[in-house]
Amino acid sequence: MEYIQQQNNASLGTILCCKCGVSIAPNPANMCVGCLQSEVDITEGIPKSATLYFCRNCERYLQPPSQWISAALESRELLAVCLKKLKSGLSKVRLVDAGFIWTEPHSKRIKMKLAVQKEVNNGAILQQNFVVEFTVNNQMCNDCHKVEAKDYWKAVVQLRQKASHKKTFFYLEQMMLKHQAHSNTVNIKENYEGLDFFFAQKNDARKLTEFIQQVVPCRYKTAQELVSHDVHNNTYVYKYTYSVEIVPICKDNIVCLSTKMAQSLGNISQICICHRVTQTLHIIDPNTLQVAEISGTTFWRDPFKTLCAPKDFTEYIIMQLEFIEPSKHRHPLSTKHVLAEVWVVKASEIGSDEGQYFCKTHLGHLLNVGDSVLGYDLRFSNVNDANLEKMSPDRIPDVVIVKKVYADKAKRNRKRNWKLRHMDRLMEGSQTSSIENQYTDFLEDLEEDPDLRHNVNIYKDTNKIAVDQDDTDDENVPTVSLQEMLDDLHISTDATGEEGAEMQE
Amino acid sequence: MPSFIKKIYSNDGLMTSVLYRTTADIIEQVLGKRGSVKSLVLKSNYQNKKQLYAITCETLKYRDVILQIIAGTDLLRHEKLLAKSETITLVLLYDFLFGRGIQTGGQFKKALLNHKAALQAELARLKVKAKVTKNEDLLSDLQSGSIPRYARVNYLKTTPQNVVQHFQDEGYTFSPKSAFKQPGSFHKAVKAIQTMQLLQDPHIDGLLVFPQNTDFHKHPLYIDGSIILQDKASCVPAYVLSPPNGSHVIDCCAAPGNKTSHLAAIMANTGKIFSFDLDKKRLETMRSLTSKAGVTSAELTHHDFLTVDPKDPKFARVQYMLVDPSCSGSGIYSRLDPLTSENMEADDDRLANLASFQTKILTHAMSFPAVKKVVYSTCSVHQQENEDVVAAVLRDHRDSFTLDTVLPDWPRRGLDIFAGAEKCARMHADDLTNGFFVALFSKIGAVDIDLDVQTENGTLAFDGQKKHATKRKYNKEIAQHKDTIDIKDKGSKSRKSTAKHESNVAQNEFKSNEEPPSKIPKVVFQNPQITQSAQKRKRKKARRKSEPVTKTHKKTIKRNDISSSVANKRLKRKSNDNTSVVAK
Amino acid sequence: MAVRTQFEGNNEVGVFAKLTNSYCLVAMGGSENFYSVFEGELAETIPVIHTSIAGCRIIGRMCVGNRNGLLVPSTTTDQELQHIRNSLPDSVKIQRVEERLSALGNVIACNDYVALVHPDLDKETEQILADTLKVEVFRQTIAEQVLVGSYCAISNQGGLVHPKTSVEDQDELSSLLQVPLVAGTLNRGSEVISGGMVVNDWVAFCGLDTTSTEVNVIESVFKLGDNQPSTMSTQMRESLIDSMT
Repeated sequence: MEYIQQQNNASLGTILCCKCGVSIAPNPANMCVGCLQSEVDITEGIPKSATLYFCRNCERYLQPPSQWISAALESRELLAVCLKKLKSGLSKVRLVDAGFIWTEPHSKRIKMKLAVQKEVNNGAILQQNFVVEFTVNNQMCNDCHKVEAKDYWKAVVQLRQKASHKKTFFYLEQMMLKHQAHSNTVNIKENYEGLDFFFAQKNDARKLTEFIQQVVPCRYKTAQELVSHDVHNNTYVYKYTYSVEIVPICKDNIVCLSTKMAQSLGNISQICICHRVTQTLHIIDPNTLQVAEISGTTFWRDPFKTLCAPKDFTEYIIMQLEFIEPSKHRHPLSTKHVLAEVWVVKASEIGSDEGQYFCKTHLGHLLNVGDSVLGYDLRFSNVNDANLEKMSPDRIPDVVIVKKVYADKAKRNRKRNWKLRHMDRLMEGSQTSSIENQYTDFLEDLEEDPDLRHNVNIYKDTNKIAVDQDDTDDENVPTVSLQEMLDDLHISTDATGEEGAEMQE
Repeated sequence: MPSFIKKIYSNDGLMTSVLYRTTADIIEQVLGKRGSVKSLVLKSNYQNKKQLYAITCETLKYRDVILQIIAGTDLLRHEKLLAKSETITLVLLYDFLFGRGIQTGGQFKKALLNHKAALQAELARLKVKAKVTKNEDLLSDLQSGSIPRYARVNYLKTTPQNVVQHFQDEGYTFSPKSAFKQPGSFHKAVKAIQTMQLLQDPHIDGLLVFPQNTDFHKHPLYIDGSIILQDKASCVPAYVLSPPNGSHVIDCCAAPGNKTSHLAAIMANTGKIFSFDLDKKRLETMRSLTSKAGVTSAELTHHDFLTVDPKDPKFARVQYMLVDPSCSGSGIYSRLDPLTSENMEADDDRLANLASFQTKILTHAMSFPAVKKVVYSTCSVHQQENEDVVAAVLRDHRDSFTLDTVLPDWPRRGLDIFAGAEKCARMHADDLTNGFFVALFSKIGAVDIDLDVQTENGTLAFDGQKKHATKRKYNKEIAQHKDTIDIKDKGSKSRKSTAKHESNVAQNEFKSNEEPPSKIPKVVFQNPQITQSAQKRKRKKARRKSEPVTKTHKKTIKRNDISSSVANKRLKRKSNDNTSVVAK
Repeated sequence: MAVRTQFEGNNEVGVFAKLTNSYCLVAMGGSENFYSVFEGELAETIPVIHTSIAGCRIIGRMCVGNRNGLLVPSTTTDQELQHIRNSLPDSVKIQRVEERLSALGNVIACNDYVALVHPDLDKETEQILADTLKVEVFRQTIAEQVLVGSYCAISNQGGLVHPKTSVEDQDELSSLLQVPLVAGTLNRGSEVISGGMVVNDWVAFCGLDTTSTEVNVIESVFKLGDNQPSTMSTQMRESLIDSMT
């Protein structure tokens, strides 16, 4: 039909409401609002009261079926939770407005005012306001339940290193923080010689295991324990264990390889220094600068022990230093190190004539005469190592210099204007002085080794910067450049997530 | 045969009836201004001239209506045949809708009848819109657009003030004549008049102007005779004559009586009016009309005025004659279609007859012994009935009568065919009245048989002075009926000035009359003022009390008040009259 | 008097019946109750004819008529036509109409004097309408609806129109029809006026759902109940004409 609707500016008359006879403007139902409301209740089917579940521990509301949402009172999120509760009823009407009516928080009642529209007979659209009352019931959420139950886990990663110190774990902690490898852990427990990571899902445990394998040389074994078994539907509930053992060699350890391994690694000298640990062990022969890498599998094929750990080091002072060319026959050679011949004297024996030792060191690039270095006196050491015992004594150096000592530990500590982030549960309950020392050592390692720093997020320590301004001596002391530091991120948005909340000073 | 008809005829060979074709032909020519209807009808070959003339005139009359119907039904778009010859369609539609129904017409008829229902519906719709039931009403409504409705206030019953008050109470807005001092402003105002608006006519005293469509037939003021629906033109003769109170007047052709009642109102029912008419039936309606208007001084006689004996002692005191004889009525606008009448040669014979009758009657009127003034008026626009008659009569009575200037302010004067024609006045539809002609004769050296105490005469025999006197006399009349319209307009000043004027008149009278004058001014003055103040008081009282007095109630109070005052006035005047007679 | 009834549980009485001042058509296949309502009210005065039109029961929407005549669509079978012809009073003319808008009841509303028709109705139909029913025919819309027959019900006494009809339209229609009009509803708010009711000068039948308010409106506008059928056929119209002048 081509009848064009004219602009309707004509005045509409009034008609009588067909039920009560009151004079009204015509509407599609031709009934007054009162009669229309008595005739049809558009809120029919919408529950006028409902129950909300609230977890008191984490202050979250349950959004069925299984999501828990943290929401403040009268917040948009809570409104969404409440409306989802009424979803089935609201599907037949058009929701126009929703809002809260204020109630006392302790009343455990939430009142929501809704305005809904619905087309009733003949296309009349009716709008109605009504109130829905929600009762807030307490129910502990799954997460809290797990936390409360402590051992509520399905898989565990047992991380072990048979080492006398924890530097590897400090490093691992930083790696995990950086890569969020720990995100799904239910719990982390410290254990003798290692850590236990608990997971609700088996997959999460395997993921962590794989991650660790990427980061450090290690091996792992799995085991499963039958927890329960339902014969009717053939389901078995297991607890899984991933036992990861990290190679017990750490940075700055002196090792003695077996002859066989030394040969397989390019005829390297048997006594080497492990100067770095990544996915593999990086060893260097301080006499020749020859380097080699030992992967986890290689190591476990023919395991060896560390001759000495940093705690066994003695301090020497360089008396004389002479750079020498490394032999061309050996390779691969380290390009980062410089070979030098030094005369050293024990710091404790300085002043006496005797006791000067000759040795070669790979730290030529760092050393000057008079510098303190840490080293190990193999002559007087009492080491039980099968490989070492088999070596002819000629080939055993008197002293092996491992690292340079920069400054007083306390002073360095004070000067340090950066910090690291921590997984809070890792260090719980074990804040002994030895561990603190080990941690400081780890921080110093970070300062000294830029490569190491690549894998770690370093944050500015705003508390310390002011103190350090006047202290400008000892320019040799390696520090972390400002560029490498990150501004301290807000904890809530930090990649570490909720678990790594607290900072340790 | 004109080319366009020929075309239809020859090309299509249609069997349209000769009548319709001829009519269409004539209408074409009339619309093209190539001749008048009458001449064209006479020229045509069609036998039944009368029928042809009738259908032509009527079609032209209904042309606008028919065109509206055609537009409303989209007839020409649907029927190609009809679209080709609109004029024939016009004629056919006239005959179909308003005339006898289509007599013949062949294909045209068929085409038209296809739309019979739609056409009739459209006509009905037009009628519904115009709120009329008869086709004729539709016509008048559409055609006679420009003349407003005039109502004369009957001074015998009420005053303009009260009437205006009444209308204002009904929601009318009133514009007094003081608003029309600018030349042409009245004309403009009347042209733009809208419903619920009311103007005071600046020319004729006590005449009110309403919108053309105002319906008075059920109006209380009309029913009780307080207002009389009378065209402005027909108010002129009595106004021009303005006989003073107590005069004896003859209205020669009185029916339907509006002029008689106007005369009676001017004289405030004093004196005597002899009204003659030939038609008994019309005289009867006139009787009821005058009695409704409260006229008591008129004597209605069913008699041919021409046979009335002027020597009859009954008429010995008749000084004033109103001669408004039957005429062609060509000035009456609503009877006239500009298209059909324009340049239409008037029926010479008829006009000649009428003119001779009019001359006769005018001559007869002049033959009355005491006559002083004769007003001659017609509602015709034809020179034969107007200027020619006046000129002829004047020629015969050169010694005894002369023409007086009527309505000196009126712009439209008599056609200049004899010396002094400019003293007559003409009216025309353009003046928002019916066409009209009026001339005033006055007797030269009228030896005033001073019969009436009220008339001042004496030496005032000469034109100029006399005119002056008449005017003054009229003023007096007005003053007697003066009401607050003037007073409202001009405020107390005007009241004073009127009073002064009045006293002048009174003095004048005093000079010319032996009558002790003391009473007259009092009578003249006190009444209106008293009534006025009494009214005001009453109104105030009502307001102060703020009683729930209904409007009509209030009005009746007022009206009673007024009528009593008028009656009072009348009484006083009567007594004057009596005394004068006694004095004589 | 306005009577409430139902056709087989359907409130749209105007669909299944046609009522004029001189005859009444009711659809076949209704319950006896439905017929008895009509026959009880009408049988003494006018014939109540049971019929179908073109095999349909929706006769009220198919045909249009007044006391002068009856128009049925061209689909009406000869048999039906014969049956109706035989039952109608002799004064009533019956005519088959070739019309594209074949639901005549929906496109034409009429009383004994005036018919309002769909603006697109054929010219021929308009002509037949005017001749057969002796009415003046006006092309109209009601509340901007072209189905004038559906949205209003008119008798010689008054008329009920679509509730959304503007006051101006009501005035215009009222002056065309020369009967008082009122905008209203029936069947509990339905705006399809003549679908829900049939009316003549002395009785109206409306759907069972019609509320008492609606019945009141109907009775007052159609002046049912207080008048004798004989006196009012033309009285009203004449008085209206008088008041117009």
